[in-house]
Amino acid sequence: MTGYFFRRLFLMVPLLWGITFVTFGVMQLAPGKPVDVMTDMNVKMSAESKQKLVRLYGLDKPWYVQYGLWLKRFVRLDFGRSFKDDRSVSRKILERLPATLLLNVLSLLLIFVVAIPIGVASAVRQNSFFDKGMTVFVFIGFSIPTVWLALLMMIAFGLKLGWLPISGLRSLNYDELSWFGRMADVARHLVLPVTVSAFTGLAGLSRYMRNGLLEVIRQDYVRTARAKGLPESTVIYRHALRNALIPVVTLLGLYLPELIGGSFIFETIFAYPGMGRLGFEAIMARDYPVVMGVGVIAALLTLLGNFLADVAYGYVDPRIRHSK
Amino acid sequence: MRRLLRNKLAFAGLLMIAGLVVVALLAPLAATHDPLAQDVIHRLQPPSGAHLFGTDDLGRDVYSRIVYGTRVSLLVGVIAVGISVLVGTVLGMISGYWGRWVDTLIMRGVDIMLCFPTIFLILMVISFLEPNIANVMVIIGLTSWMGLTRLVRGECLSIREREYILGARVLGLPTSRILLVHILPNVISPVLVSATLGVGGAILTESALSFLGLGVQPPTASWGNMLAAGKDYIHMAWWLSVYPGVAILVTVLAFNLLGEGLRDLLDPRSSS
Repeated sequence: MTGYFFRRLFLMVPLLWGITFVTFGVMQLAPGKPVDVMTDMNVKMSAESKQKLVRLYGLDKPWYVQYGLWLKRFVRLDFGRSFKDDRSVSRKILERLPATLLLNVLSLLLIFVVAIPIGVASAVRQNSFFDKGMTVFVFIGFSIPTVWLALLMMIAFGLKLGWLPISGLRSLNYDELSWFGRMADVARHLVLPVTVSAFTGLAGLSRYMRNGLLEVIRQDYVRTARAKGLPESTVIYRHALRNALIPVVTLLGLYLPELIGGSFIFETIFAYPGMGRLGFEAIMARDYPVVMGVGVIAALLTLLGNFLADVAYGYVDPRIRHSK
Repeated sequence: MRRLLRNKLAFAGLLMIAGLVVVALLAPLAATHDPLAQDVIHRLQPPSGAHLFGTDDLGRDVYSRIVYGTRVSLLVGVIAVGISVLVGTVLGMISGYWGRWVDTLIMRGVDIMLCFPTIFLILMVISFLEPNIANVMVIIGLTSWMGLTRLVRGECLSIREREYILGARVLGLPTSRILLVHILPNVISPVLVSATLGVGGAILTESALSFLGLGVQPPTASWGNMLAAGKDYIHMAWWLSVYPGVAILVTVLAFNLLGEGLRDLLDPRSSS
């Protein structure tokens, strides 16, 4: 297991390097120097101070020198300072990261907690009314524009019924609430963003679980278990389900980039104070250091998620960790 | 083709797509109003006989804008997927047939690209370029080829070992001919399934981008930028949000139905 762990860890190094390179490469597409945006707004900015700014960020150097400088600071997780308010980028991201992690971890939990029972129930009663209904749900889940789903839920639960807040993470009176009141307040704000960002994954995983279990039920050892007269529930939950759950672990790695990508959209729609909205606003304002910082952190989170999924897969399935 | 008609899912999808294509081609006939004509006096009217789906914040007819939006969505979907199929198939075939370091290089490239949340990569690139329909198509295409590359590579790896390929090589056929005549036809069916499902995905991506203001720009009607207007008037005009979303849902559903149906037909193993 240790060998497998380090082999996986080692595989991440070239990927990490590739991530920094791609991010940096994309940044080079930018037309107009960011100093233009900064200084155009500010009439007091002279040509001389503009020059200073260029030199400060190394914008006058060729791209490989800029990349080298950036990489050197990257190792220390120093992404420079925001063009907008001159605050440290890593600090800005760090402030927003917990909210984004909260949103994504809750979505992931919701996906797994809801989708696995749905998938199992569909497989056990294949072609039943429930199974057919779920198939329709899955098709809709794959086809629904999630921004639209977000709007519909805002209209229905936020405006028409007035049950849930539709933006932010805290109410205006947050500071006056008791500890319990604060928790409840945050939870109410989280319901819509979490549901919306989990929706597509929910459809995907329940389908995957259903087909996986159906596959396992056809295996010889399940037939053997039935043949020796075990009750159906033991056959399904002890013999079949355990094996069908193994590949589900790898899906964790698949959903993570999807969820993090979703944060950029949903955090913007729900005015949620997370890293995704920070990144989106930075993109709109051409705040290059923040854009790069957020891009790299998002990719790192994905990489970490994949690594954890790989390790977990190796842990639950000995065939994986012993093969090359 | 006859089998395609017998598969209910695929047939339903095909029928819906045909309908959408007709609407797109005959948009001037299907629309009841000029999609760009403003009528500020009748702004934000709820659905009525005169305006089937109501009017938007500038008094434009929502129904007619949805009709014209069909053109944008289909165009973006098909062209973006065309680009990703081209890139994915070429890279996948090179990777799978040549193997060795070329394969390693391409596969690591795929791994790296997959680490990025696609939507963020697209947002980043789009915000640097001018957000317009051409850029949207190209960028969606250039950020969605990874899955196809893996798929085609896998198929190539197994086909490469077949005897008829060995035969072709013994005969001294040039590599280009082996790839085009002997390998390409054998990877087409999984690519077709994946591409059909991809069109739906590309349409969803376009609508999300346009919603965020980084896709198709107003006044051109796209379902995504119509939803953005819907969000601005969410408190007073629900019809601005509801109808464009239904249009997206129906269109994407059509491509997904056709794609799943094709999968059942072309790959009996995965039938569910």
